[in-house]
Amino acid sequence: MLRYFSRLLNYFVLKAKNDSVLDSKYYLETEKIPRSIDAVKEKLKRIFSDSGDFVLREIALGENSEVKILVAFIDGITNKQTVNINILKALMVESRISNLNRVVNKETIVDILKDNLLSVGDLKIISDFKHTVDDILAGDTIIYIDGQDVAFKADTKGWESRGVEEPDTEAVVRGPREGFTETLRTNTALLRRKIRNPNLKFEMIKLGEQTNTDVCICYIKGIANPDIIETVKRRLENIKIDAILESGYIEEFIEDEPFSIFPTVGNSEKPDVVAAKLLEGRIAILCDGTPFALTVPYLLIETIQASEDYYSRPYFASIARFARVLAFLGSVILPSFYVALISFHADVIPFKLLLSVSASREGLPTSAFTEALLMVLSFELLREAGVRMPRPIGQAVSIVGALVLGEAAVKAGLVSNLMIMVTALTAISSFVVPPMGGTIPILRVLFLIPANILGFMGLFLSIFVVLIHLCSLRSFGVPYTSPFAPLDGMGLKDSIVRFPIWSMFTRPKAIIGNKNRRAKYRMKINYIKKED
Amino acid sequence: MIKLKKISVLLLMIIFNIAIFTACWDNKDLTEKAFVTAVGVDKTDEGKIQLTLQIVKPTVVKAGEQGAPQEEAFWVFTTTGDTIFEAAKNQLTTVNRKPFYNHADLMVLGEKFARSGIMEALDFWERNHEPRLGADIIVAKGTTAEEILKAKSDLEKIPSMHIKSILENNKALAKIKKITIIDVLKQLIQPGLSPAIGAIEVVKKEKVQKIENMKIESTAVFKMDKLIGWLNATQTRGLLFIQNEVKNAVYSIDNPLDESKKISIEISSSKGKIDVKTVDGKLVLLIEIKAIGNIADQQGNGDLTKKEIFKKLSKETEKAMKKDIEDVVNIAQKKYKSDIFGFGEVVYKKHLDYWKQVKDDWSDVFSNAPVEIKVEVKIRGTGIVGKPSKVR
Repeated sequence: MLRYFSRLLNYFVLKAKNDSVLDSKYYLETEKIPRSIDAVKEKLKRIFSDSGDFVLREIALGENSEVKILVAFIDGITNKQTVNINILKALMVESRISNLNRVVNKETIVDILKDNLLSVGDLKIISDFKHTVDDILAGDTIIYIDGQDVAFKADTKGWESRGVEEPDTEAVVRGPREGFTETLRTNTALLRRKIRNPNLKFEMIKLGEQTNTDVCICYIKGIANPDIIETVKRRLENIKIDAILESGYIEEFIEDEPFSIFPTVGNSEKPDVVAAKLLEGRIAILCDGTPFALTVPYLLIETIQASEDYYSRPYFASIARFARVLAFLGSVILPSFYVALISFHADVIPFKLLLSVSASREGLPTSAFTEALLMVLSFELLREAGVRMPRPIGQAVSIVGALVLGEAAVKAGLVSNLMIMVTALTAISSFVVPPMGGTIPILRVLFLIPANILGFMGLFLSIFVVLIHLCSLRSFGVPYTSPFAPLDGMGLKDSIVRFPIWSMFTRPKAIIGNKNRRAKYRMKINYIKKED
Repeated sequence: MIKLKKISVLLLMIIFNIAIFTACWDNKDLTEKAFVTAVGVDKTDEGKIQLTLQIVKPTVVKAGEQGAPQEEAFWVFTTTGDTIFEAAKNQLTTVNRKPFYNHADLMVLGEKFARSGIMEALDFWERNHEPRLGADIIVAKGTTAEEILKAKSDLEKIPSMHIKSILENNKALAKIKKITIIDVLKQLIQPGLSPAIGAIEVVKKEKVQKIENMKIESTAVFKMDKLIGWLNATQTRGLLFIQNEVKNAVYSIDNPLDESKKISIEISSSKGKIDVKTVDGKLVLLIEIKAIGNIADQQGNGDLTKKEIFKKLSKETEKAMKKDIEDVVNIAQKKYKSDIFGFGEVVYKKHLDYWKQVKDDWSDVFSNAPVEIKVEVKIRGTGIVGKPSKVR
């Protein structure tokens, strides 16, 4: 079925291939920087025409002001202090104070600028004009020199940004509270601080024809599977789109099975989570402008793993994982199970329970299926309202929701008490497994329909369909259901039961392969005997 | 395009199948079903079948939980027909909901119907997909099933629940024969075995009958599937010992220290076994009971914690038990000539050649065979006191 849809899509893809997305790009081919400063000025003015934030300063150096210099940057995304003090002041004031002006001429200018004047940490010489434009857009300052076919690039990136805060999406009781920010450089720094190892690589790539967004592929060389790294790079390079505003854009492009309702690319807002995944051989994709980092390959088992599992003791962590599995199953199956039970299999309900169920359904105008659908949908409505609502109105929503879903619906004779309970349980459970938040509601409704047509048979039929789909899924070539299928004995230690960390000797086999030892057997603890 | 065609054909087939093959799993809401808790079968004077259903009203059961019930939580309805199924279908002329037999846990057979053969009722039960084979079955002694099912109960909202709980008491008192329909069916197809089914009788006549005026302690004896007579309470106890269905039983025996006083022995576990052997080509029936008992109470205040007294007590208990067993074997052999213990089955399993010779006149062979009864009782304890407390 999926394959059919993808073919349908392929048709449109082929049709659209002729219409290039590059149409409206500011089209610059690779070319040398013109030697004449006036030509440069002309070009820049044309490219940045009508851009109020673009700043172009022309400065003359040398005894007779014979060497002209052009400083170009964009106001607002540059660090003002660096530009003013380390570049402009150096060129305009300090060059004269230190009498460097006398030796400046067209031959010496490059060396003098580099060695004596520009006191900027990251200074590079560029000869490609296209690159200089890109760098100006990224927040760097470019210094063009008259009569030279090279320019200086000074790293002056700096803008207003949010500090490192605790993310709302992944709250923890125990564990680091820092989260990624919207600035890529901050995010790489956060990772670098966790893994102080030169093997931690950050490969940069620019995506988005219009936005030129910085995207960073992170992995630990020697742990990550080179094949998967290659796959990730290839898939990223193949992305042709005009804008990358969030990592979600990338996610949809690089998924193995774009039509599956199960996520095959993970995301996290927390450096410790991403660091742990890197150390398990996964690859992270950081995207400028969003705190959400993508991690691949993403397996089913990761949906029930939380960072806190590894920070708290194994017993409790295992209980929590059991609860998550239960919650996932419950929140998907419960409504359809209830419908199947009521409509088809009254014989398996214990008699006394049957009496109370039947009494609560007495006089209801709706069938169990309609009732369940009504409640499931109205819950989705409330949830959506709760997210979109401006905070001060949030309380009103919850009060109305509690009344509508609770008392009033029963009193009005629309739904039975038991259905309210089922809905409430379902709703609570669906928040226990956040990565599956988008999958659960779909499955829930999908299961309801066969359950209403065939009872338990329909329910189990649909469960099997989903299981078959899960088994066929791959994330970057890694089987989605690993370590269960294919079975990986060592990997099971980190599945539903979380074994002690010292006993997880190996990294996930499905991702890395066989040479994957990461811990030694726990040494015997020797007590130091005090001798009198 | 070919792919698309294939897929659409497949889809059509699936939809078609769902549409036509779903008749059996019909989606019926709970509110469209009438829950039958007990079924009664009688034979009318004209020879027709009369079916009685006890139907629960769930709302009344639930409403009754908050306060005193305004009306009865059940409703009894009777129809007649030539066959049970016809009578069952005739219900629909009056009942607005479809009777739902899945939770019918009790079947009551009127005496008249039972005497004419119960297989008809069991066949209906077995053939239909709704009723449960694990349902209990009892015979209404001296009355009709309708009367039993119409009786109210002060203790339970649903009278059939009351009867069911009395049947559950067989664990605490070995005078109640509890048997399920599947067991009766099994016994009927077993060679030489006839079922014995618990019987309920009305003790006190009243205008509006109540379950509290009835008791279950006798047992109906069948020959093949026809009722032929009754066992009283002690005979029932003997039968239960032989059939190894005793969990707890009480015997009152004379106090060895004081002949005028009594001692209760509580049998706490018992193992009954039947066997056959042939002596000089003649069949001998063997019954072996091994039981363990405790002293449950004592009149008089002698010290019973002595070895000789324990021996005496167990001898006395053995004697009393043996009397019950002899009694029931005697009545089954001589009066009813019905093998309710299952000796025929043992013969069939152990001596097939012999069985083939006698199977046609098994009831004669059974009733004339000598019986050896071995009873062994061990008195283990005296409760949680040793000597009784003395009254000054």
